[in-house]
Amino acid sequence: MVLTIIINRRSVSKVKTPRLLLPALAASAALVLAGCSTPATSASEGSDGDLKVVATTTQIADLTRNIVGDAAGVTVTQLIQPNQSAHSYDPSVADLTALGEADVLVINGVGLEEWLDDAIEASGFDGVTIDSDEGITILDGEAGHEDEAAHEDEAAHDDEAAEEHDHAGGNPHIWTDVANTEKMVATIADGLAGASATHATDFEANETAYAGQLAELDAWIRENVDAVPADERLLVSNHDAFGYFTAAYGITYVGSVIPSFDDNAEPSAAEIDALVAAVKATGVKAVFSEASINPKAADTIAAEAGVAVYSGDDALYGDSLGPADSDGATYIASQLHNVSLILESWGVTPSAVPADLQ
Amino acid sequence: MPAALALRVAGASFAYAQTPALTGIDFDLHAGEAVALIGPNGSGKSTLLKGILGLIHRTAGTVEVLGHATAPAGTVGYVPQTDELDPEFPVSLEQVVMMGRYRALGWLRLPGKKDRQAVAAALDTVGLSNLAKTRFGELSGGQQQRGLLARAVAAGPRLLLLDEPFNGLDQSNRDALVGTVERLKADGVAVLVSTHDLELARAVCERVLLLNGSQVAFGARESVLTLENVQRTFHEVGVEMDQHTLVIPGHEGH
Amino acid sequence: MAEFFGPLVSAFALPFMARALVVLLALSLVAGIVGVLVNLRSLEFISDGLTHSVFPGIAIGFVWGGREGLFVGAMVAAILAAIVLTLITRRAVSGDAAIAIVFTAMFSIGILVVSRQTNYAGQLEQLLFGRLLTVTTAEVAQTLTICAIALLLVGLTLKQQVFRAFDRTALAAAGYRPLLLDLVLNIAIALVVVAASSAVGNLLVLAVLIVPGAVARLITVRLWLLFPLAAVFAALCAWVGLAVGYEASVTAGIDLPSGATVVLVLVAGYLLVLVGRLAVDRMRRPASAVPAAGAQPETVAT
Repeated sequence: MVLTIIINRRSVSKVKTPRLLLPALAASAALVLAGCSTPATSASEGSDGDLKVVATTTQIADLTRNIVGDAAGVTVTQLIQPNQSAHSYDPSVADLTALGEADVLVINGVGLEEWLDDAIEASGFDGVTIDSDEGITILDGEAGHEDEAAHEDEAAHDDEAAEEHDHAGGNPHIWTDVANTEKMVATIADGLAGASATHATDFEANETAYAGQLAELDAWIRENVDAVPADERLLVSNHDAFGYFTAAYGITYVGSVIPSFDDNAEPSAAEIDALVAAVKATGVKAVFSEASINPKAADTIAAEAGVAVYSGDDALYGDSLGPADSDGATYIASQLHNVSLILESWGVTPSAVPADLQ
Repeated sequence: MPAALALRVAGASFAYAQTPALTGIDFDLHAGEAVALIGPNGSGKSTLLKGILGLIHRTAGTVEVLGHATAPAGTVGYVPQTDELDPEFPVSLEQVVMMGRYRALGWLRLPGKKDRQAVAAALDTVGLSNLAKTRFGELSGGQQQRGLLARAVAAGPRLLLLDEPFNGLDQSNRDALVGTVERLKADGVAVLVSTHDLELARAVCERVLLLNGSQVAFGARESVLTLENVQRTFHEVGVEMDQHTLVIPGHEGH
Repeated sequence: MAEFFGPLVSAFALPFMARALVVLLALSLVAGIVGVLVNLRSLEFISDGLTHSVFPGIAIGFVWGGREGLFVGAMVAAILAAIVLTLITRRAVSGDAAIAIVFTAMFSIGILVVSRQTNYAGQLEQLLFGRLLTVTTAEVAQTLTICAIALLLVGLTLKQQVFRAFDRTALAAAGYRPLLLDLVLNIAIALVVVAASSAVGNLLVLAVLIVPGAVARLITVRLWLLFPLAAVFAALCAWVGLAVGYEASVTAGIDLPSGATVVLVLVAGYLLVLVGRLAVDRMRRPASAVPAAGAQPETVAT
């Protein structure tokens, strides 16, 4: 509107000093750039190699990098940066350029990357796509209802072609269960080995080492969670990102602040009331916010229900891993962080973390 | 041989919505002739002109333009009182006059040589050829008025309706306008011009129509412009009438 | 020098950059011409209203039919809005309050419709900010078609539109129907809004419509020069804006949303021309303190 008024001057003689114009424009420019500009994608390896890999999410990129290790001539480019939303991602020029040149694309699947089809078409990507969700039992709907559509999903899934992933509505946060992650790593490693014979042995070696670490992680989590009585294993998080986690480790998911898989939805007043009631009824002691999501709603519910809130540095890593200098920069670190805090909220001290994982 | 009949209005009445605006109009106008339409403000001069154009609802009587009930397109020119035109509009005098040719061109055709010639001739008729490229907004009020007249003339009309063209003009512009009307008459155009100014009416018009909500009188100038008729038109007692100016208490000069 | 001009060409070797450029060039051509008419008739506010009112159509089309539905919904809403708008403003251009009420209401309806989707924020973002880099070839074709129709509408009536802008009464007296011309122009504007919304987003469409026309007015008073000037200016800014966005992303690592970058270049271009124009005006105006050339004080003979 300011633009309209200012630019509607007809002749220059009617334009006095455009006093309002420059500050107004500077302000809008600053707003746009501050709000929307993001650090560009970073390649974890340097110069041109004979295998260019593009990974979508922070978790997928981390898994991929662990498999690639320091194999010469392999670059891994990560599209989504820490704390960016995976659900509504707008690929940049750099992203599309990297994608266009890539030999391999590694994705999470389960409909998480809705923007991907457009990006692939726009960039002209014609390489191999590795879909990490292969062989994984997809949970449909809310956490705790894992048996519903899972079985027919699995059967149908095996028959489908590699790129037919119509899990719309399925919970995409498969990496929260370490066992799933182990399968994902296997899938990715197989795919990468298939794409590059020269590096196949390296990838397999790295995969074995990393899988070992994941197994240790899984064991550590189980050992600690099992030590807690079943009825005290309660979790309230910001949004429905932990369905696989809670199902795998026998944790009761009381509810989420945002009743959806999407980080951008808003809870209605009725939903907030329902959750507060559930919190009070079950005796949950804490509400967990997530690192990539605005903690306000979580704060509100915690205050209403009279329980502690874990946010800021103590928030969980759900949708996104943390930035490089944070507590959750890698997948394993993020799981250690999450589980330690959850255990703490139950009044339990976690056991020592295996040396391998530190 | 009597000149062709350009306009005949018989027993006509006009109204805005339901309100009668003008009644009992009876006159005619021939090619090469100029008739002055004289009356006070609000007497219906503009209404009559618009009624002839068909822009205002006619409740009684007939209007025949160039032998037709509805004038063929482009045969009647109309110059309203200067509208609120944007003084900053980026258009030259020449281009404004060219707008008068658009109707003849239709939707698709672009102006050609014939059109440019017509525009030049029109500018010549109003005596503004030397200002053809000047931006319209930079012309004086009087020149703009003459420019709009050129626009109407450029279409080559056989009947021209001029609504108070002499208002607010300085002497040189008035003289130029008189000259223009003379030239138009010489070309066989019939001119109906509304005005307050008696001197100008005398300068160019053979016949006069006096108007005040209804027709007061119509006929040869000298026989119609009697003190009695003028008083009836302007509703003023004690009106002075000299050779040149109609002095009406409250309406000074022209 | 090469580093400056290099990306202006090399960036567009990439197919997605080339598609974005094609869309913006087509838009520049049409928006430039339509924008000059908007400027001549002071329709900026009404165009703003049209922009907002097309939004529910875009939103509804998107919700019902995904991206294929988007264009259809938008076209329907655009034409409806243009008709309603023409009727509302028939009496006088100032029906500003009525226009504002109708069109903010429609914008809100659009937001309501989109919000019924669970992940509406992401889709809303796309609709409001546009998508240039991931346009598909089909969408390019759709945009070009819409631009062609708008161009045809305005091109066929151009001289009458200018006449109307200058003198509505005379136009009516000449036997034209101003209402018809208004409807044609409003539909053309609405079509430009639809095409531009998917490219630079609904929020920034107005800039694409009014800045090029405003710049052309600053440069010249020659009527028929305004149209190509506006189109060329818009095209140049689109080209530079895309190249700047490309360079920033690929070289400097800063990702700027393409639509906003192009708009900022448009505005920067306007400022540049404005400053240039002010400078030229100042040079033309003789300074009062400077004595007239040749004036010499008379020597006084004693």
